[in-house]
Amino acid sequence: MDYNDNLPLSEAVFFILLSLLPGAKHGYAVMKDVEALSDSRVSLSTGTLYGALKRLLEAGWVRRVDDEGDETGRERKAYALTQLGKGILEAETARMQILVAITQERSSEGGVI
Amino acid sequence: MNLDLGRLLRTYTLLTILYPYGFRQEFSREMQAVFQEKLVAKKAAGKWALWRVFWEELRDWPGAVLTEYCFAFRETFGRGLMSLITEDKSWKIENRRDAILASLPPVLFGIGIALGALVIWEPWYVVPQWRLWTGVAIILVPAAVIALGGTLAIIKRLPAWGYTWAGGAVMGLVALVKLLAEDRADFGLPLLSPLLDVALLVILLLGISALVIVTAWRGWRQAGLTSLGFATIAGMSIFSLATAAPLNRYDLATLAAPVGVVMALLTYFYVRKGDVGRVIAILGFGVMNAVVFLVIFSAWDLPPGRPSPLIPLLVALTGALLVGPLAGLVGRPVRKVIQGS
Repeated sequence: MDYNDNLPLSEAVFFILLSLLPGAKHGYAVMKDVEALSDSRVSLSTGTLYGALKRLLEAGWVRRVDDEGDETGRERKAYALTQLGKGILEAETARMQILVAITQERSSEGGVI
Repeated sequence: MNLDLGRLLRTYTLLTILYPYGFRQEFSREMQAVFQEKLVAKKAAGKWALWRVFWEELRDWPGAVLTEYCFAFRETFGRGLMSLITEDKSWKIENRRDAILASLPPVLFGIGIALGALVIWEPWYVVPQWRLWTGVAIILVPAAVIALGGTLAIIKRLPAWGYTWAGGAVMGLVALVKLLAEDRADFGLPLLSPLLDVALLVILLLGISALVIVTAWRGWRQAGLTSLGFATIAGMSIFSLATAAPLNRYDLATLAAPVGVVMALLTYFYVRKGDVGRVIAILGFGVMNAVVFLVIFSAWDLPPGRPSPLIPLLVALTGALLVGPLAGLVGRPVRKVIQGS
């Protein structure tokens, strides 16, 4: 599968995938993490988060995993990256690295950013 | 629980109910739990912090809901046109008595028109008054029965037998208003007043639309039956044209009885058979109406240069016949997305 067919990612999807990279998280943890990773620039509402998660689940980029539940014993669903999701995230990161490299090269030639 | 927190949580729960069925089944509880966590995390910061969390959700809510509906419709329509028909729950009237009851309006109306024509038989300006009024009464009795039956069916929330009666009653009301309005228009007068006439037109249109929407929500088969009710009354009303001046063809109006019997048989066929049978019944109604119109209008010598009303009438009648099934087919994915069934 060519990962590049799915690129570029929206900022929200990129941050959600990035948030899940270290390990599975439940919805609220993803929300907080995205906010922290983006320096509060990206703030996901629950509707936006779960809409994106629905699409990511359907595309097979993330999967649901069992969560032991919180201190109240309430069952919570957690989400984890699949191999496909990891591949997409890596491809997107590589794409952005190329963009940054090109930009740096051009600016070293005397361009102004 | 904090008063504001509880209130905001309840309001948010209501907002999640408005997502498409599939989405809310899968995520609404989880979304409510996450929203509660967000509120609890901000509780210490005071009342305004809680309202701010809610405002952030509310701000994104319309876009998020719309997006989900777009995805849900795309997914449902993406299965193809045939799935709209085949995925709908099968429906037919199992009870023979109810099936016969559903098929009665065309017979009643047809026999009423035919008997009325037999009694009057001559132009209104030569026929004795008692015959004229007896004939009119004979036509009006089945019309009143259909109106009562339709009202009863609507009051009883449209049982299986009631779709044709309700459709017939509503179309009968439209035909009656049209007849009265045309009579008044001959004298250059409005029916009630220019403003009230517009209001009446809007009410009638809303009534028809409401009936179509309610039955379409139940399925294209039920909505199709309502359409047969529309087409029965709209199609058979054409026989009254044959008796009007300058035609005065009461012999043609007696054809209403056999036409009514055939329409009743087609209706019975519709409610008892499968989908192929239903399509045949709808086509049969269309052909029947077209033949009746051609017979009536071929007897009507229109002045040269005057456009025949045949084509617009046939188009309107075909529209009445198809509006139900089509609304049902379009309503099917809407119902599936909203209600999940």
